[in-house]
Order: sequence, then structure tokens, then C-alpha cells
Amino acid sequence: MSNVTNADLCLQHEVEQLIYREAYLLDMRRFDEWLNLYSEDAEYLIPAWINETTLATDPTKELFLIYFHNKTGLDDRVYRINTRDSYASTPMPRSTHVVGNVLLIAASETTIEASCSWTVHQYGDRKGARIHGGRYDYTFSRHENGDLKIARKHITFLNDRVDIPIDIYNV
Amino acid sequence: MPGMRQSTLDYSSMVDDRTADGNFSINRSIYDDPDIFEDEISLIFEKTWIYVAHESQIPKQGDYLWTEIGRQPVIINRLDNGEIGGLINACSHRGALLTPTRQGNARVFVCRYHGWTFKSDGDCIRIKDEEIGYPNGVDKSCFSLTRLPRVENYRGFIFASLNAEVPPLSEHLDNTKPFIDMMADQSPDGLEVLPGSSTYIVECNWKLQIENGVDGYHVGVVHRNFAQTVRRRNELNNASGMKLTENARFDSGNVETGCYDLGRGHNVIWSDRGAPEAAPLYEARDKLLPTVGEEKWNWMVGRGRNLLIYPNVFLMDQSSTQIRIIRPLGPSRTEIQVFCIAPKGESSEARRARLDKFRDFFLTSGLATPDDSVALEDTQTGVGGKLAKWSPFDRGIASAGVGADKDIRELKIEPKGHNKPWDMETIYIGQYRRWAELMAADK
Repeated sequence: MSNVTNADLCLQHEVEQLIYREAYLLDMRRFDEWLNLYSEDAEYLIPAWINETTLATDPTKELFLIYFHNKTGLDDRVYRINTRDSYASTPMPRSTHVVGNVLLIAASETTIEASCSWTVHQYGDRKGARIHGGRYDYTFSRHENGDLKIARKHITFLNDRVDIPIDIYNV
Repeated sequence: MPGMRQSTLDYSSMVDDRTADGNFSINRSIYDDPDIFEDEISLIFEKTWIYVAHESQIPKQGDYLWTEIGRQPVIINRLDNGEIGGLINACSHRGALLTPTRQGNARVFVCRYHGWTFKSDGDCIRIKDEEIGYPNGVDKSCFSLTRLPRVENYRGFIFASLNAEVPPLSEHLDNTKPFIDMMADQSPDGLEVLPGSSTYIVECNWKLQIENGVDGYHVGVVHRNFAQTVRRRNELNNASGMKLTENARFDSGNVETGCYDLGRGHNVIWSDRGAPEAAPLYEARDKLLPTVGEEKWNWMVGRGRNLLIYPNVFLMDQSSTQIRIIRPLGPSRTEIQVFCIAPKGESSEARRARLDKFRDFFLTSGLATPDDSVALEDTQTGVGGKLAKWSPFDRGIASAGVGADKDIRELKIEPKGHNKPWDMETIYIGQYRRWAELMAADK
């Protein structure tokens, strides 16, 4: 453990806090604050499975469940939910994210990569409880004011044969 | 053996067909009665032509795909002679599945249970330790895999049937063919199913799904928020050309729409596109227009279309192009598998736009399909209220016309009937007359 510096621990803590905050804001349905965690050019990807073991890798040639090449795609989702006119999102199911095994993959002055596991427990009056999960692969960018923002979020979704709608609040 | 059960249900009484009096209603028990569901599996899904695959999914010899017809596991594969074959996916020995994965390549199938081996056309070529088990010899031809009675391909779309007595596929597809051609003719090099698919389950009866796919009436209600969301996005991004998300069809009266009962349960609904240049196909105009002609080009790119090929597949060409397969799992449980299908050789911009628009609308993780799914689940729950017995499909009976109108006459086919706009429900009369006809057959 002697190799671990205080800076390492601080960075681990900072990254974990950001990941947990994202989960918290989604579960609390505080979507405007959630959007603020992302940089303007943030990529957001949930690839489809090409077969039992291989994920799609190129959203311009293969099927992705969700792919936004910048933050406006996330903004669309929030707008749609806020219309209160989406049959699937009104009423919203309740959900809680559990995120763990946060592993720093790489870190430089400006960019940090981390990978972690997630599950979402969802409950809705119509369908009851559902649980699904996967992996988040994050890239964070350090902005000039020192803020850490999400620059890329790649979501591996294990249960790709689901009986509930999939949206930003339950992955 | 559900298929052998002697049904006491009178299906003709469940379709109240009095269109002359302006009435056509469906008894809601057909949406959730388990006995009716069992009969539908044996009398519809295991008796008629069922869409199984697109040929681009199995291009090379030995390529296979494991899917289901009704509830029976089947293999659809490319044989050594280049033809497309079909087998029951079960070892002739003790019945284990022969495919480790949903899709793959196998010039021979080796059963992973006891090691029996079969050629891709089903011939048994090896029985493990044959000479010990059968010291007096054995005729391996008795152990061929069970071949599907019928497998046929129309313009790359592969259909199969468990019933040897079905009419030729071409006869079954009938008036849907010009609409299939409108997809198949989008590239001289043919079409390809793009890598990756999405499968989801909706807790509703399969018939609610096939109604919904040709239901113009719900579009302006259920998808109002989609239209609102993309209108805002178009404005924020100042979108034009392929980047535009077309939304004219969501406001009734904005553009011309219509619907046809094509016969044999098949339906198509269409809507003029407010901005045809938003279609990824639009770039192919100069190449395709001289070969297909103005009238067909207008059908191909001037109009969005949802085609139902009864009973299990939609070919949709709206903002993007989709194959949507409907698979009944139970009276109140249906699996939907969606694929994006695209013209080979389109530009990378068009391919990207096609996928963007596909994700937008057609996926259970999109901005529209989830709203359909939950609406259908609510309907499934609602039709359980058996004191309220009937669903009317009367809307538009007064304006319905027999045969072709001027638009479809261009395609040189004679549908059963036509109506405008696309929110008329008279096309369901065709679906349910077909249903009643198939369900009346001897089991």
C-alpha cells in the first residue's frame, strides 16, 4: 500500500463521488442537475449485442440502443419526460441505482477513465419489481475551473431482452 | 398436446361481422383466453407462412440462424448448394438443440449431448460409437433431422411453414409484393440487415401488437410527445436534409394518409412525407428514379409505409427502415425483435442518419416505441374487464371503399379495400376475417 499516494486516494474519492452523484440525481429525478454533470460534447452510448458475447462498437454502422454524440440527446430525453405526455414515463417507475467496484483505469491531468458495475432496481405499479445491470465505462474531463465532467459514458446492458422501456433514468 | 385438443370454442361468434349495418366488433376474450391462444399457435402460427429471416443474415454456406415458428425451435441455414434450408432445431436422437448460439456458421451440426453429427441439410452422417451400439448395423437415413416442410424466399425475405399444404409463398404474399419490392428495390445491390438487434417483451396479446403497427389513429395521440420533442430538436439544431427528423404525420390533416386491406390479413398504412429529403433513401434519387419510374418513386420515398404481412412481421419504412418480428409467447406475452435493414452501398451519411432515426423511434430504448408498449399493456389489462365484452372496429366503415383507389392502382394490384385517412379502422376487418377463417379450420 506504500505506493498509494494521497493524490491517488483523493482522485479515487472524487471520481466515486461523481459517479454516485449521477446515480443519486437520476434516482431523485433531478434531471437538470444531472445534465450539468456532462460536458457539452459528451458522448453517451448503449450498444446493442451483436451476438451472445459481442457488443456493437460503431454507432454509425451498427445498432445501438442509445447513442448521443453530444449532450443535446440527453437534453431531448429530459424534455420528453418533462412533457408529462409520454405514456411510458407517466407515471415514472421508482428506481434505485447501486454502483460499485469503481476502478480507475487511466488518469492524466485532463482525462480520467474509470469502470464500474451497476444494477438498477425498478418498481412500478403496473409491472412490479425489475432488476437489471451491467457496466459503466466512463471518461471524465477536467475543465479549466477544476470541475470534473462526464465526457463519455459507455453503458454495457446485460439484460438486452427486457420487458420494460429503457431510458436514461433506469440504466 | 394442445394442438390435438378438441376445441369447443365457437370462433365465428367472437367476430361480430355486420359491416353492412355499420358494425364490426371483436369479443375481447380473444386477447387473453389461454385456450384461444393455444388454438392460434396451432391454427395460425404453425399452419401459415411465417417470416423467419432476411437472406443477408445467412450469406455464406453453413451460416445458420436459430429462431422459432410458433413455439417450435427451428434452424434456417444456407446449404452447401447455396439454397436456403430449414430444420427443426432438435437432435433426432434425444432432442437437444443443435446450435450453441442464435447465429453462427456450421457446415455440419454436431449435437453437444451425445455427439451425433448431421449435414447442414439434415442428413445424419455420424452416430458416436455406432459399431458398439448397433453391432448389426443401422440405417442412418432413418435419423435425418426433421426438415421444415416449406421454406421460400421472396426478394431476400425468407418465410417458412410447418405445414406442407400452404399455398406457394407468392400466392400468400399476394398484394404485399409491390410493397416488399419498394424495400427490395432501394438498391441494385440488395438490402442488408445491420449488425445488432433489439428484442423486448410486451405483456400484451400478439394481436394488439399487429393492430398497433398499422394503427394510424394512435399516432397523433401516443406519439404527440415524440413530435413535440423532435420539433424542438429540429429548431434548436436548425436541422435540414437527412438531419431533419420528419414529423408531419403526427398532426392529423397535415399530410395525406391512407390505409389498405390487402387481403389474407395483410394491411398497409401510408403517410405522405412532409420532407421527403429527410429520408436516407433520398440521395439515391438520380440512380433509382429512371429505373423505378415516377409513380413508384413517389411511393418509395414520397410516402412512409407500415406493411403488415400477416401474422408475424412488419416491414416499416418511415423515418428509418425496420423489420419487426412478432412472436407470441403466451396469451398476454409477446416478444418483439427489431432489425434495421438498409440498402447496400448507401453513403456513410445516409447509413448514419438511418441508424439515428431508427434509434429515435423504433427501439424500446427510443422516444416512441416505449409509449406504444405501455399503451398496449394498459389495453391488455383493460380487456380483462370481461363485463365490457366488445371492442368496436367501426371507425371509417362509412368511407371505406372496395378494391383499389387511384393511388394503389398505380401499383397494379387489387386490394380488398381502401380508406382515408390512415386512422380508419376498416383494415382490421381484413385482419379479423383472416383470423376467423384460419381459426375455423380443422385442427
